[in-house]
Amino acid sequence: MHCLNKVLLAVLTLMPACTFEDGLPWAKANFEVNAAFSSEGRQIADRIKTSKDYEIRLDGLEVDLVAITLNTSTDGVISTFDPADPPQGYGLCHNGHCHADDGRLVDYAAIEAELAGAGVSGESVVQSIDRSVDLIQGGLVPLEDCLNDCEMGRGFLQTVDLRVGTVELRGRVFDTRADSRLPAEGVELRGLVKLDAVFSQAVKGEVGGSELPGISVTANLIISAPVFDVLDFAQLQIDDAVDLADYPEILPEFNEKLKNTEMFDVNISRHQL
Amino acid sequence: MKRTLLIIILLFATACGDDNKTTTEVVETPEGEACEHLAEGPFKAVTAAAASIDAVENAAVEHTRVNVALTDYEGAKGGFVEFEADATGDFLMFLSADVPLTVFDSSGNEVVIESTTLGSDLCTDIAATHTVELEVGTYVLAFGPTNVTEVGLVHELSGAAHDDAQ
Repeated sequence: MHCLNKVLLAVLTLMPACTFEDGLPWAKANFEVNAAFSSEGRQIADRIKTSKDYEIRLDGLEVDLVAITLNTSTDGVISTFDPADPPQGYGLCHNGHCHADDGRLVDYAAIEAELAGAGVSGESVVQSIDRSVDLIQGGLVPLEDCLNDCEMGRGFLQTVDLRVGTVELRGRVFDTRADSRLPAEGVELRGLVKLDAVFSQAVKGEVGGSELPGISVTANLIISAPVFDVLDFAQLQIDDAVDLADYPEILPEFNEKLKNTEMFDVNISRHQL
Repeated sequence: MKRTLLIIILLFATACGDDNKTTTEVVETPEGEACEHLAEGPFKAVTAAAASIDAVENAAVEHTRVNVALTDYEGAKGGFVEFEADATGDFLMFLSADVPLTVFDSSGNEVVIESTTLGSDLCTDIAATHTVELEVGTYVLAFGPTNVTEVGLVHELSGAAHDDAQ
C-alpha cells in the first residue's frame, strides 16, 4: 500500500473516535442549596420582635425541602419582562416591583420567573432533597438522588424552582405591651404548617450551544423574621399554647407574607465536564 | 497613517463606553414614589375609629394609597387607625390633605414628629409630609380635628429607596 494511502486510512479510522464520544450528554447539572433564617433588624436578646408587638423565642424552625428543579425550554427565550410594558395581570411597575391586579406586590424577578415558567416546554432536571432543614442553624443542605443523573438534553434554561413542603416551628411567644394580651410568662408556640410553596427564579443559558456543558446551580433561600408579622398570637392561643396547625385559615396570609419577605436567589455558572 | 487609525479606534472606544452609562436605571426617591401612589394607587380604604382603643384597622400598607375615612371627632372630623411598623427608622408619612397628625406608641405615649413639610416640589398630590422615627411595632395614628372627611396616606421608610442612581 502506498504510504499516503496508509496515512489516510489511519486518519479515517481514528477520526470517528475523536469526533463522536458516544454517551456524553449535552450538559450535566449539579446543585448546591443553602437555606437559613434571618432575624436581621428584629433580634432583641434571644427573641425576635414582630410588628404586632409580640416577641418570639424560637427554639426550632425547620422547613421540609422537597426538590430543586432546573427547567428548560426547547424554544429559547419565550418572553422578556419590560417594566414599562407590564404583562397581563400587572399594573404599575417601579422600584423593583409591580402591583398585581389582585393587590399583591410582586418583585421583577418573580414576574420574570413567572413568564419564563410559562414558556417551559423542555425537560426538567429534578434534584431530590427530601429532608427537613434546620433554618436556625442554616447552611448547606445535603442532597439526594438526581433524576437521570442530572443529565440534560438540548434546550434553553428557563427557571429554577425550589419546592418547600412544610414549615415547623417551636418556641415561646411573649407580649411586650403594657396591657398584656398574653400571660407574663408567655405561651408555648408550636405548629406544623403545610406550605407546599414553590420559590422560582428565571435563569438564562443554552444547552447544546457554545456554552460549556457543566451547569452549576447554586440556590440560596433565606426566610426572614417579618414572616411572623401576620400572626396575632393572642387570637390564636388556646390553653396557654398557640398551635398553628389548628388554624389552616391563616395559611394564605402566611404564604403571601412568606413570598413577600423571603429571599431566593440562584446563580448559574458553567464549566467543563 | 497608523496614528490616524489609532485615534479613530480610541474615538470609537470612547463612544461605546458612553453608551453603557446611559443604560443605568434611575431609581425613584420616596417623595417621587409617594407622588405616584397618591395619584395612581393602588388604593385601600380604611375607616378611622372614634377612640384610640378601637383603632383596629392597620393603615401601614406598603406602596399603596390608604384612604382613611374620618369620623366625628372633637366636634369636627378625625379619628384613629393602627400603623404596624415593619422596620426601624424614619418613616415618611405623605398625606393628601394637610390634616393634623399625632402618633402614639402602643403604651399611649406620644411619639415626636421630627419634621413636617407642606406641599411638594414634585407633585400637587402631597399636601403634607411628616417624618417620624419608629421601631418595629404597632402605633396609633390620630388624625384631626379637621373639616375634611377623608385623607390619603402613603408611607415610605427613609433610605429604603434612596439609591438614586443617575
